[in-house]
Amino acid sequence: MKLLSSLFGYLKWHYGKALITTFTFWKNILFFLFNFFSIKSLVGNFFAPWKRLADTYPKGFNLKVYFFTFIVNTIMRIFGMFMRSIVIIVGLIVCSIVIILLPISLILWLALPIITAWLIVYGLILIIFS
Amino acid sequence: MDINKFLKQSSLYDVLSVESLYSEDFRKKLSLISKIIIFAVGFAILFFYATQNSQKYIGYKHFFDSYSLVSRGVGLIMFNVGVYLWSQLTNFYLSTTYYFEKITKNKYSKNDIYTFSAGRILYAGRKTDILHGFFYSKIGKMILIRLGINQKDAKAFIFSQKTISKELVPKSEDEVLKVKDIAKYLYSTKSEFAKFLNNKGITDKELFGAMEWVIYETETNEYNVQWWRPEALARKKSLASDWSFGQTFLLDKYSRNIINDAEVSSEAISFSNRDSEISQIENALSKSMEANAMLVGEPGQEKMQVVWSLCRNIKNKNTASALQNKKPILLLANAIVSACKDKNTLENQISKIFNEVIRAGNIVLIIDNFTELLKHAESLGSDFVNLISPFLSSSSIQVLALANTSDFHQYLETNKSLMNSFETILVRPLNNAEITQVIYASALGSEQKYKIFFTYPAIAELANSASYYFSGGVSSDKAIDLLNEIAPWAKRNGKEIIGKDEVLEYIEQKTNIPTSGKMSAKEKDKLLNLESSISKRVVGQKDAVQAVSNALKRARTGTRNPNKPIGSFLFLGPTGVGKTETAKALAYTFFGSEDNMMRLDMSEYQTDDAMEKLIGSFASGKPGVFSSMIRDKQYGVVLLDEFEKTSKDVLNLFLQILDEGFFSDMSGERVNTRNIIFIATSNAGAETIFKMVNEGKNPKDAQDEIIAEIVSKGLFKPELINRFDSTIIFKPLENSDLQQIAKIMLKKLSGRMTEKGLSLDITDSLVDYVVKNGSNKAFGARPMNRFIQDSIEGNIANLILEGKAISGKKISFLISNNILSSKVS
Repeated sequence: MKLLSSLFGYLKWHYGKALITTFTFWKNILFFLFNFFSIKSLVGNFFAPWKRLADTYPKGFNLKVYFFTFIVNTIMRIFGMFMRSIVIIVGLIVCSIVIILLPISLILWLALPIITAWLIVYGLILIIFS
Repeated sequence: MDINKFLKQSSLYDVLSVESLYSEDFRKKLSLISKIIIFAVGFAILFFYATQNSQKYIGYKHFFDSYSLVSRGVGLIMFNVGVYLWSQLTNFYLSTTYYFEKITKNKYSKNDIYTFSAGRILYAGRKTDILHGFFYSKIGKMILIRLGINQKDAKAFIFSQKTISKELVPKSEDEVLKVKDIAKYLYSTKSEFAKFLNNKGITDKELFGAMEWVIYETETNEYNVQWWRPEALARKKSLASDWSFGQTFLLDKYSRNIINDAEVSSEAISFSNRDSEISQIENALSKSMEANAMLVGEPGQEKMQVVWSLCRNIKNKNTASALQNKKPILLLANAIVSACKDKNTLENQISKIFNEVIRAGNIVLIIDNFTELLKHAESLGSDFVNLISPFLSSSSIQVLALANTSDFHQYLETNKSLMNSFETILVRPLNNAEITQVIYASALGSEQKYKIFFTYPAIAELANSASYYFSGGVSSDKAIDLLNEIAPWAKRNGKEIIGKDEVLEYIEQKTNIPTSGKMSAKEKDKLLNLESSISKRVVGQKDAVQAVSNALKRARTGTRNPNKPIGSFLFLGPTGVGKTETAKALAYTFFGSEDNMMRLDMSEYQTDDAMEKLIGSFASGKPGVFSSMIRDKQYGVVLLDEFEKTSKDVLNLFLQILDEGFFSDMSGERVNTRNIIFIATSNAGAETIFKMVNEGKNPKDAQDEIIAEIVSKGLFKPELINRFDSTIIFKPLENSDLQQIAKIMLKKLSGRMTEKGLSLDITDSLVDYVVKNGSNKAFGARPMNRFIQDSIEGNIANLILEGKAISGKKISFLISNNILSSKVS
């Protein structure tokens, strides 16, 4: 009796509260990946020079120095954009996979009690009747 | 409402039901066994397929085939995968439904009716009653173990208790019923339970403390299991978090990334006793301009503990938006001080560091020991404040400077332009209960490291003793230091369970201060005979000796007020009646040596600079005589000779010392005087005492009259006299007392002579001679020692020099017409 009532209690949780928890879980993972790949920060500073390694422009008018500073800073910006693009793209791909995995994981979650029961029962049948 | 009905009202009932069917230990074992079977059988099947074409193993193949072992093996694997999945699902079920009591963010819903931990107790007692539930539940058992109660005693007690049928559930002050409510209910309504605890020396406070610690431990374990929590995920280091920010090459040389500190990485739940300071820092660092804060506190780790908590919040992404994704860097002032030895280098490096911080854009600069840096710069002739002011007022920098309280008052507070750039935040000293909470996590760490066990009363005593027996410094630091010292000590001494007694024993060994933990038979004997022991040296002052003895007995048996000195006495009376001797006798008898008496001649402290001499000078940084004396020797007798002669400021200082058991020295650091006996002596009222004796009155009976006279003369304020535990009148010595003193002194001389093989014949006439010539009305017995030295010892010295007094001889003195003559036989 106690076994049955606790099984019923579990199933109530599995197909009720736990489904909401799965969404929270999925949301947390997405948040983590977004944070892990620093996507917000990289997009916000997309055009910034690589690790802010930029020269300051001279105060007086010196075309040569001005030109070289411009070239160096542009290279640093392009390099920064390139590196950031790679991380942003990889991050977005991983996030997309996680988004796509949500319905699959939901289906898996819904089937999990049946799969578990089937594994135990079918396993026992194989052990006894083979 | 009875327990069963109450339990079933909550959705947690199903969870508790599952937990009772499959306990945590059972699930752990099941998971492990199923994993082993999966791997073992899987390996066997792989081995079968790998070798099926080999002739060498043909015998095994037949064996496998005849019993269908492969398909049975697959069945076994499937069955165990199912079992493993089932135990993992149950774990997840229990874990996600677990509600925390200590973490405010994970709030209860009113519908839960009770907390998980409270539910566990009620569930265990659903067929009996709450008391039985408490003793049978895992959490209840853990609380009892933490209280130092062994399982055998607990079982014996609970078996003797009758079950109450249909017991009603206690009411809660909160929305849901908590373990705290159950513990309170049991202690207040089950007198047998309270008696059981009290007999073991456990108070209600300790019961609630142990309960809090057990819940903390359980929830920390549960907290660490839940890796999917946002803050747990946020702790993982980001891949490219610093790509958008500048590099800080120079700053890296003089600093460290505080996020990597073990205290920040620790997964232990921290108590919220620093929330106020952290919130103030967050507010200060969130300002659009001059976002700088100065954290001021006692020297030690307390300021750093606040910083670590702040950094942990930053790491967990649980902080103000202005601090999100920031990198807290600890600039080590000492490293700069040792590297920059001239003004130009220092100014250059400081400017570059601040520029790097601004350029990086994601750094919160934490400057450890800010005053050290300031003082060093000033010593090199640099205007440090002007140098950093433009940076501090910038909108693109956040600085958190740390400073010691004394340094802050001495160097920083007065510097208006500097203080305009900083918001001052004071670190509040923690009380004993909070210090106990701080050391919960450290104690659990020590237990794992040294394979020992701390009871709750032990860690509560550690927190208490840290401030009680060790003066100076921050109490929580001292408590953690004590904890770190006591664990290896216990291990060395073969003690696996550390209770309150072990803590007190260790403190006694460390400080030589007898704690009230264990009193040896010898010490008990010493206390019981204290009065007679002191009376052997102090003659004719029965009342004084009795008062002092009683105070000490109170102190050692733990019945005294712990927030005051052990005892404080004002000895009033003429010179040479035994006031100083009583203090010496006390130090010798109780504290083991006269060296444990510290003497201050208060007539030396009557000028305006008296306070500076005693507690130190703020301006010159010189330590005080009194504060240093107490710091060096925290346990003993302090004799304040000629107390009435000191200045009014000093008398006011003693008003506080006698009342609260501590004072603050020149740097604002607390000095503990709670293990000291203060004896103040004064000749005030001596004339009145003489007058009374002459009139045949006992001065003790006219104590109020004498005190009133002293107050009316303005020598002491009435509130000061009232602060003393007792004011004792020393009466002038009578002739019989003087004779006894003379005998004691002559016996002392005789003892010294025995060491040289000589003996002294102490006759009544010799005693009378000493009394007659060695004492007078004004100075009592004070001149007696000098007189014995000059006349008798001088005579003996001559006899030794003349070769008459040699080893084995006896020296006698004859007195005729008050003239002394010696005889050697």
